[in-house]
Amino acid sequence: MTVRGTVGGIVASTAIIIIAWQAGQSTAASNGLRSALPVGSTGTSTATTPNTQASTPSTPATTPAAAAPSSTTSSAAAQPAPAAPSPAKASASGTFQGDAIQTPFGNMQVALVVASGKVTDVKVLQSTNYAQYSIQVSSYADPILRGEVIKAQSAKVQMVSGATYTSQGYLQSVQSALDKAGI
Amino acid sequence: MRWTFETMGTVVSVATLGAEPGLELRGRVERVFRDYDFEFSRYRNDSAISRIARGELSLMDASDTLRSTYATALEWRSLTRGAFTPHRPDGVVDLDGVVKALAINDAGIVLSDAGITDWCLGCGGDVLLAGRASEEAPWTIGVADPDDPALLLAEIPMNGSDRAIATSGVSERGEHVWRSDAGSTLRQVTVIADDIVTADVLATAILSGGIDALEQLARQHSVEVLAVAGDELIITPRLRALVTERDVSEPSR
Amino acid sequence: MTSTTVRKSPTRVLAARRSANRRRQLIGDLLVVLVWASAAISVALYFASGLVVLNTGGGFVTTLGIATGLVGSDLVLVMLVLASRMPLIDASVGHDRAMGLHRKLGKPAFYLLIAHAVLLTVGYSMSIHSNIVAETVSFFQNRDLVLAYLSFALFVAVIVTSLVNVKRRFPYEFWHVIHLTSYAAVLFALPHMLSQGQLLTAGWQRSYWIALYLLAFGSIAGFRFIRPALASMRHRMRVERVERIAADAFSVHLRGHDLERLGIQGGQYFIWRFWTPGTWWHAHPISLSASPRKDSARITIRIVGSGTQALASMPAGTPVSFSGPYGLFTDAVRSARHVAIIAAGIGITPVRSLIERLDLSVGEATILVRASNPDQVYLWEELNEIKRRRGIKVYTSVGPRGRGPSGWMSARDESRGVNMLSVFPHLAESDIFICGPDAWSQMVEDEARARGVGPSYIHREKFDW
Repeated sequence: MTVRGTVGGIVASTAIIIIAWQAGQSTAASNGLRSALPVGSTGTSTATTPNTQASTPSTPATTPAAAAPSSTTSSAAAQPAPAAPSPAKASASGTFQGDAIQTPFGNMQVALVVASGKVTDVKVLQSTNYAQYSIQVSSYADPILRGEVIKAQSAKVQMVSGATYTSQGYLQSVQSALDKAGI
Repeated sequence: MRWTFETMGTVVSVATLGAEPGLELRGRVERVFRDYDFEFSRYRNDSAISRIARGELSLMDASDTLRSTYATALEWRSLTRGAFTPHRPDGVVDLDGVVKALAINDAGIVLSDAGITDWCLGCGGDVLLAGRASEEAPWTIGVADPDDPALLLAEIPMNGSDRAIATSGVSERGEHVWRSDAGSTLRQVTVIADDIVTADVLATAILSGGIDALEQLARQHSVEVLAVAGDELIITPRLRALVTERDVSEPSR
Repeated sequence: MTSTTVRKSPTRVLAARRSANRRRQLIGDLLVVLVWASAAISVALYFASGLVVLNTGGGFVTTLGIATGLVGSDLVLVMLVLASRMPLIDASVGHDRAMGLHRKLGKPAFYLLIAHAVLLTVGYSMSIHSNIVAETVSFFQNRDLVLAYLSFALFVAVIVTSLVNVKRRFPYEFWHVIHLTSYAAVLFALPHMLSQGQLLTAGWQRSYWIALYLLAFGSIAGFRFIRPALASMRHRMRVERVERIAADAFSVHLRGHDLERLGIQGGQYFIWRFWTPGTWWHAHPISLSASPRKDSARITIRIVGSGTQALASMPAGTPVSFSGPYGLFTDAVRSARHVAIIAAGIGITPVRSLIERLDLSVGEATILVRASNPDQVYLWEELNEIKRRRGIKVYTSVGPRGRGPSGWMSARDESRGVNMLSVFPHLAESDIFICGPDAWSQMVEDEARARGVGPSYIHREKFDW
C-alpha cells in the first residue's frame, strides 16, 4: 500500500474509464441515434430522395395496377401543362387540360388552372371513382393519388399514426394488431 | 420489445430495440401519463381541469404544470393565428390538444434519460420516436386510413431528424376539432415534425383551418403533411418522396 | 548459545529477504490497483454500454446518480472482501491494514450511496418535471426499491455506529450486532440493481455484478466462516488452564491437535472465540505469546473490559474456535540485517513469540519494553531467558511518559538524553517492529521516519478492528 500502488491505481482507473468512454461513444453511434441521416425539411424536389430509402422494402408486386401509374400520375395527367409549378416559366397563365390516363381507379383526366406560373386549381374532368370536384391546391403540398402511394403493409410498420384512438377504437386498429404481435 | 398500457382514455404502445425496459422504468413512463391525466382529464370529475371548467378552481391557483400547459397552448394559438385554440367555442378551457402531446414528450425524455437510444412510443395515434427500429431499418410509421381502421394509407420511414408524427381527424370521437374553416374538406391531417407538440398542434390546426392553414403552417414550421381532403390525398413534396415508390432506375446519389 | 545452526552468508540472506519483500509489496500494490480498477470498471462498463445521457439536465443528473451508485456498490463489495480475511490480502498487506482500508472506504462509499439515492430521485423528477416527494412516493410502490431503502437505512445505522465518537458511547456488542446487518444491507441492495433501470437487467454487465457479489460473499463465507470452522474442528483446541501473570493480565494455555500444521510464524495472531455461555459471541484478536508446540499453545491477555474479564475465569476444557493465523509481525517481512523491537505493555506478547522464531545472529536484535509502571512489564522472566539464550539486548523504559520528541519513552529516560538512535545504534540497517497502542505506535513511527527509516522497514501491528 505504497504511493506506487495508489498512483498505479489512479492511472489504471483513468485508462479504463477513457477506453470505456470511447467504446460507449461508438456503441451509442452504432445504436443509430447520432447517425440518423439528416433530411432537409425544405427540400422540394422528389429527386432528393434520401438514399436510405433504398433499404426500405419496396412493395411486392401484388398490386400491379396500383404500381403502374406511379410517379407519373400527377404530372402525366397534366401533360400539356408545361408551366406546371415550375418557377422557371413564371409568366405562364391559363387552363391546361391533361390527357386522359388509365389509373387503377379508371380513367382520369384533370385540368390545371395556372396563374402567373402558379397552379391555383386542379379541375378533375374525368374520374370513375371520384366525384367531380375541384380542390384548392396549395403550391406547397400537391395532390397525390392513393395508388401512387406505396401500398402500406402493416407488417412493415412498428407504429400507427391515426386520428385519436379511443380505447374502443384501438381494439380494431392496426395499432392493436401490431401490439398483439409484439414485434 | 413492446409494452402497452391504457391511460387518458386510450392506449399507449412503447416499442424498444434491444433489452426490455425494467419494471421501474416502465412505471415511470406510465406515471407521466397518469399524472397528466390526473390533472387534465375532462372525463374525470376530480381533475383540475374539470374543476376549472366548473369554476371551482381558478387558473391562477392551479398547479405550475397546468398553467405552463395553458401557456403553451396559448402560444400555439397565436402561432397558428387561432386555428388551434385551448378554448371551446363556449369559452371553457380545453387543453386536450396539448396535454397528450406534452405527456408523450415527457415520457420520451424519461426513456432517453434512462439511456434507451431506440424507442418508438405511440399514444392514441400520436407517435414519438428516437433511433432506429433495427440496425438495418428505420422506425416505419403507418398512417391510418380514415375510412377503414384495418387499412393504412401510407407507411413513412422515419429516416430524418423528424421524430414526431401526429394525426388529427374527424372520424373518431366525432367532430372533436372545432373547425375555423367550415368549408374545409379536410378529413384527416397527419403532420411530421421535430417534436410531438408541434406535430399534434399543427395537425389539429390544419384540420381546423383547411388548405389555407396547411399551406401557411407547413411552410412556416417546416413540417411535412399528409392530408385527406374529401377522397383525395394531399402531400408535401419531401414526404411524397418518402411514401411513393422509390425510383430504382435512378441511383439515389 | 545452542540456537544458531549453520547460517547462510549474511549478504545472501539479506538479498533473499529483500526480494521476498519486493514481491510481497508488489502484490500489495497490485491489490491497491485492483481496488481502484474495480471502481473504475464499475463505471467503465456503464460508459461502454452507450446508455450514458449527458445532453439533458435530467439525463445528466441521472447519469451521475447511476455512476455514484455503481462506484458506491463496488466500494461496499471491496469492503466486504477486505474484511473477509482472505489469505492473499493478509499475507501481502496484513489483515490490520486491510481493515484500516476497510474503515477508510466506509465513509466515501456511504457518501456515494447517499448521492446515488438523491441524484436519481432528483434526476428522475427533472426528467418528468415532477417533484422529489412525488418521485419518492412512487419509489415506495416498488418492492425492489423498498428493499433498497431498507438497505440504505441499514447502511446509515452501520456507518453511524462506526463513527469513532459514536462507537465509544455504545458497548462493543451493540456495535457488533449493528455491523453484522451490513451483510443484509448489501444483499438488500442487489434486487434493485438487477431489476431497475436498464443497466443490469440483462447482458454481461449483469453477469459481472453478480460475479462481484459472489466473490464478496464467497470470500466472507469461505474465509470468515467455513475455513475457520474446518480448522477449529480439525485442531480441536480447548482451554487447559488460565494462569494469572499480573494483576491485570493472564495467560491461557491451550491444548489441541496437530498445531504445527497451522503454519504459524512467530508474532502472528488468531481471532479467538471461547465457548462459554457468557463469552461465545465475542471474538478476540490475540497474539500467541509463545511458539506453539505440537499439541499446545499459549496466549496472553490483558484485562481491559468485562469481555476480557470474563475470559479470566474460564473453566478448563472450554472449547475454543479460531480463525487465523494472521499478521505480518513476523520474520518474513524483514529486509534489513538488524531488528529493533519496541513494544508497550501487553504488546510484548507477539514480540515474545516473534523473537523465538527470528533468524538472528548474536547482537542483531534489540528490544525496548515500555511500561507505565513495573507491574505492566509482562512476561519479563521469559524475555530474559530468551535474551540470554539468543544474545538479544533487552532494555526497559518504565515510568510516566515524556513530553519531548521521544515522548513514547519514559520522561526519565528522555531527560537523561536517551533517544531511538542511542538505544538502537544500527537503526539505519534495521527493521523496526512496533507493537502497542495506536497513538503511541504512531509516535514511535514518527521518530523512526524522522531518523531516516524507510516506510517499508517499519512494521506495526494493530489489533483494533
